[in-house]
Amino acid sequence: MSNKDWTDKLPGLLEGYTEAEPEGLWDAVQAGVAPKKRRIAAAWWWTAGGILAAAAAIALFVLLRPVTPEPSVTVVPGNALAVVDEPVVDVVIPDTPVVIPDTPAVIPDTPVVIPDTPAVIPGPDRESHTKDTPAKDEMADEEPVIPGTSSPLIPGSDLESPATRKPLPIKVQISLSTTGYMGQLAQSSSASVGLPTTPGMRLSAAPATKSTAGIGNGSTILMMLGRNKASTTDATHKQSARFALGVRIGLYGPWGVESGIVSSTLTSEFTSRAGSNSDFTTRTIRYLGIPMYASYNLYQTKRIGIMLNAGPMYEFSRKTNTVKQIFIDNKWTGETTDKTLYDDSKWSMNLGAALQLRTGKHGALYVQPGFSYHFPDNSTLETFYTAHPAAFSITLGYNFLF
Amino acid sequence: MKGNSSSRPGNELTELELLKFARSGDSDGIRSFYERYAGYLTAVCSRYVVDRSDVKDILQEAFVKIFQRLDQFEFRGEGSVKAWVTRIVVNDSLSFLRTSSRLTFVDDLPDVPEDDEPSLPKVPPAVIQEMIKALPDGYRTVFNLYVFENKSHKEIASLLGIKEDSSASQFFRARATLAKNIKEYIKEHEQ
Repeated sequence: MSNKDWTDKLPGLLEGYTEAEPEGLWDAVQAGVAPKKRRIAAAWWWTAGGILAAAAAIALFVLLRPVTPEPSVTVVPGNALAVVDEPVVDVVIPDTPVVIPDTPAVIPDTPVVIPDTPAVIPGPDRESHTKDTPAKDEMADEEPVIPGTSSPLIPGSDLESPATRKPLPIKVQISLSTTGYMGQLAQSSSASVGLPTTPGMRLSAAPATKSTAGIGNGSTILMMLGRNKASTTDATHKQSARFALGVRIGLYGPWGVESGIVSSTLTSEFTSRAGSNSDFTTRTIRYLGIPMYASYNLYQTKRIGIMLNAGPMYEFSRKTNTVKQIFIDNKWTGETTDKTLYDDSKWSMNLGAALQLRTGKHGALYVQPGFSYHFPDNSTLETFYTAHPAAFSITLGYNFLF
Repeated sequence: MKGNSSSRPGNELTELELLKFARSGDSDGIRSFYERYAGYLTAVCSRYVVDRSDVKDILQEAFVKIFQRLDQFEFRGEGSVKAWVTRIVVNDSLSFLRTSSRLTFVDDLPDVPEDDEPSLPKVPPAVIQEMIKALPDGYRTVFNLYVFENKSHKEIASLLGIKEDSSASQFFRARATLAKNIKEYIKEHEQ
């Protein structure tokens, strides 16, 4: 009798055979699929919202930034009456004490000729100054001058308001950087008896969440390990170097905003043992982050500068690779690779102080000590971010200045 | 508990149409896909894992995996979707059996001599399914891999971490036991 005789007919016989699916299976499948879709959708919505908010902020800044009108002065010949378009700045010509700002007697194309008549800016008691204006000699050494005009400023007066300040040009700075983390290792271990112990999943997870997450991780093997036997799991989490491409847009004076993309790689190694069976799992998750920082140029000379920055960053997973070595009865029995995306997203708050060294007109090297804190959330995924939420880092980068 | 493939939603669609429907993201498409294969995959999984709650866990994971990877699947003709989803369920079932330490490969079934073939057409598929499920875990797993997944003993040995001879031995004993049970069933029902 051959090995395959009547048994050859079995596959055909049972080909169309079905059994009623376990009760509640569809609900469980839905629960496993729907949150993932929602999380992915939420990630993209957050990303789109962040980009839109940044774009709106820049657009608002550009549209609403104050424009300094060139003070145009016209003089009525013979009357010596000066009218200034700029409503705050009054020009007073000696010996002509009457100023009527609201009665612009304008003769177009009349050049301004005000010999030896400094533009005097009245302070809080401006009316009294209209008659008793000090001579030019007395004021000239003390009063700063509005850039681009001959009008002097009185410090502390409302003339320093943005309405009279010449807008600063928007400066753009593009940076490439890599970040290393101090104390990149975080270790943990857990033991359980009869509990599902999916590597990289926190045991506090509710059963439904556990199950869903376990699927995403593709870690069915380890999830089953603890069903009958006591199992232990050791975990080591690493944060590899982070790479970033960023843009800083200078706004008012030393202030600016920064954004860009940040690529991070988190690696976790899990060793699970249940009796003579064991798994060694290496899971690598790549995250893409979108920082939204405010920055402040604290100190700047021709060669060096110090820049502070702080703000939140949103990160979401883009790739997952899980490699599992399986040992049964202490013998290696195989290796599995799973690239199922383990979707996750994280918010963090980041602080940094960069020391910048100019290397030329359009470039600067910088080194930046930093601190980041990843906020806890409902995710059951165990990574460097959850094992080590507060981390110090050093960033090295190069700025392209425009 | 059992029954042949009945008219389920989406059954009128070809595999390619069903695949496109499910890939569209429409919840009806996902549901139709599930309905098409849920009963069949339950039967497949139950051949490997007997406990009903374990079957549910495995199928849940398998279906989520299937839906997550639906876009990556390369359609290779009618039947390829069914083969693909079956492979996922079988792999998950094997993973469960391996790691739950339920697979023991001891020769505890009597060595039953096979004199002639059982007459399969006289036995309903549901009865045969139950007879397969009644086999010890090790025998059943080897038997299923050999008969339904068309694996060689060398492949089975590699998959389960056992010797090739053990796989063959387990299979022969399982086949003999099953043949004996089928014959007994026929004998009982002919009387």
